[in-house]
Amino acid sequence: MQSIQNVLREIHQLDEQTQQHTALSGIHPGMKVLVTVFFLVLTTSFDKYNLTGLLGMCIYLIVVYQLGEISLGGMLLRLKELFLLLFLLGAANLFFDRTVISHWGQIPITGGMFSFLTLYGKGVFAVLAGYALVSTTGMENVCYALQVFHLPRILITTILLTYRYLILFVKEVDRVSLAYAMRAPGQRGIHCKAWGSLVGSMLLRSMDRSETVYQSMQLRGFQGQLRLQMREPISIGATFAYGIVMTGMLVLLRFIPVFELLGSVISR
Amino acid sequence: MHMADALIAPAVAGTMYACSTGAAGYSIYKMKQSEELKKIPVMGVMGAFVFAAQMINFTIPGTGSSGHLAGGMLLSAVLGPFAGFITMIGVLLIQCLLFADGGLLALGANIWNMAFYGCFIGSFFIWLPAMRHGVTRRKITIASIVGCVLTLQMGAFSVVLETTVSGITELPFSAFVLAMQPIHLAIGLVEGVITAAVLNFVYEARPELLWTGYDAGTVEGLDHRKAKLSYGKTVGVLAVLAALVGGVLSLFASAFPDGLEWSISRLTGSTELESSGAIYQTTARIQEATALLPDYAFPHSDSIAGTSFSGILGGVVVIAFCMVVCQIIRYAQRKRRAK
Repeated sequence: MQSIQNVLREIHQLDEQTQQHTALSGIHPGMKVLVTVFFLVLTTSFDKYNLTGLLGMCIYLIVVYQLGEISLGGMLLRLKELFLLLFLLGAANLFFDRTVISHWGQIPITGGMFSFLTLYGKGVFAVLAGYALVSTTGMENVCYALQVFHLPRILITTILLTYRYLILFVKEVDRVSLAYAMRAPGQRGIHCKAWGSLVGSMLLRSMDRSETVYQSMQLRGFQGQLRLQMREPISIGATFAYGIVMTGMLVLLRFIPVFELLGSVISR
Repeated sequence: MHMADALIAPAVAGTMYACSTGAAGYSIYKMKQSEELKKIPVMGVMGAFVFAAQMINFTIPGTGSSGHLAGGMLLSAVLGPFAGFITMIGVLLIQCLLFADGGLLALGANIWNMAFYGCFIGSFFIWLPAMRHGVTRRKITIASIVGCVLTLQMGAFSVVLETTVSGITELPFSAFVLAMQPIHLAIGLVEGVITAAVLNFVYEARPELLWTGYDAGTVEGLDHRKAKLSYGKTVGVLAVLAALVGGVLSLFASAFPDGLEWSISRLTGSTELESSGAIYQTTARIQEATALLPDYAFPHSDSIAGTSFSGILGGVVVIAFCMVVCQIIRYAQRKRRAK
């Protein structure tokens, strides 16, 4: 898990990002979710040695990041942990797959090297695609898309409430941790003697708060589900155009080695 | 233990989504049946609480390192398995979308590995039988630790299986298991102790909040007839399961380094599956046409450098083209907004 300050900063950044009016603002969130999932399926379906084919998928990300006016700066911290995880698993490929497939000068290039890089490529692309979805759509609109897909209301309401109370609880944890740290200077983390009482009292407060929340929701006519509506108008034409263009582009990128073909044409 | 999208093949991801959807569907059905509407806001608030509480560092005495709280067992002990499972789905989805902890494609697998075992196995096979004759501090401690350790072991083993079946890593199955299980044993122990500490505090302060599978608030005087397994029998079943997983399966894994290949060879007599039919031939042709490294070699090219150069050159041109087009669209958008 990330540090509390990082989480607060990232939520704040995402909120600012989703408030922006970009070329992707009028697209239906359901279409964005579908296109993202399609991208993920195609990206992860690449063979482990098909590195140049996989790299072609970055075109989709470039287009989405450009149209959504998303900054890549906020992504660097996210990728740090992913890099470590992928390294731990991918490094095995370097040792177990030593079949030399070519030489670059004097340096032998093994299949393991290719599969290692492909694993990294897939991991990074998937994270970038997920970030693009949530920063151009917003969590509430993602829930709206889930509602359009007829997912159970109980699930959607739970996700939405969790998201809405997230900042409140993260800030509370921050305050509690700070208060503890000030009374126990130089100590890393919470001492085992305080594990139960510290988190337990927070849990009890949360339960009491949920009771108040339920009562106030009932007073406002809550009957088991929250009604979600899009804040911005949706352009049906733009939504269909986005869906058709993006899907077509992804299929093209998946089945035709665009980079290689273009390169060979130019270098002729 | 969050799996990234890169670690899972689409077919495995789809299968895990189907499994998790089944469990979620059943949970929602059970919740609707018992008309637990009141629980929905509690689930949302508890989801946010678990998310936030996972960020607290707990010092592990004598080690200098720290541990974190697990969600599944804690939520199940307070909300029950069905509401706990739905809440965990919410937490995992938000972690995935907002903080890149696990991928969107791998979400089904992550729900199964982290929420299903913790909520269902932990509740029905450990928590519920343990609390059958009433709740005590000792029982809470044992159930929490055993529950966290066992469910985390199951989750870790599932990660190994899903990654191996996906064909992502060259790491032999046995080595992968040996790397994953011991580390998650330690993590499970720490998480179990933290969960036990929290639940014991809740028990002392507000015992009626703990879920025992029976009417809320009846901590004392539970209906003994409802439970199907006695405490002793449950411990026995768990011991046999632990022996099976720990002993038999690990021997199995070390004797046959690649479990998947071994299984296929036992079934077909060969380590590779022979496929025939029009669909296979069509897909094979598509694969031949699109594969850049068939049998470790580039098609129609003896030189890797030549192909790489073409690829890089083409890539630069396409990227430049895309960026120019996107800039034009953005410029047009801004101009329209300005008007």
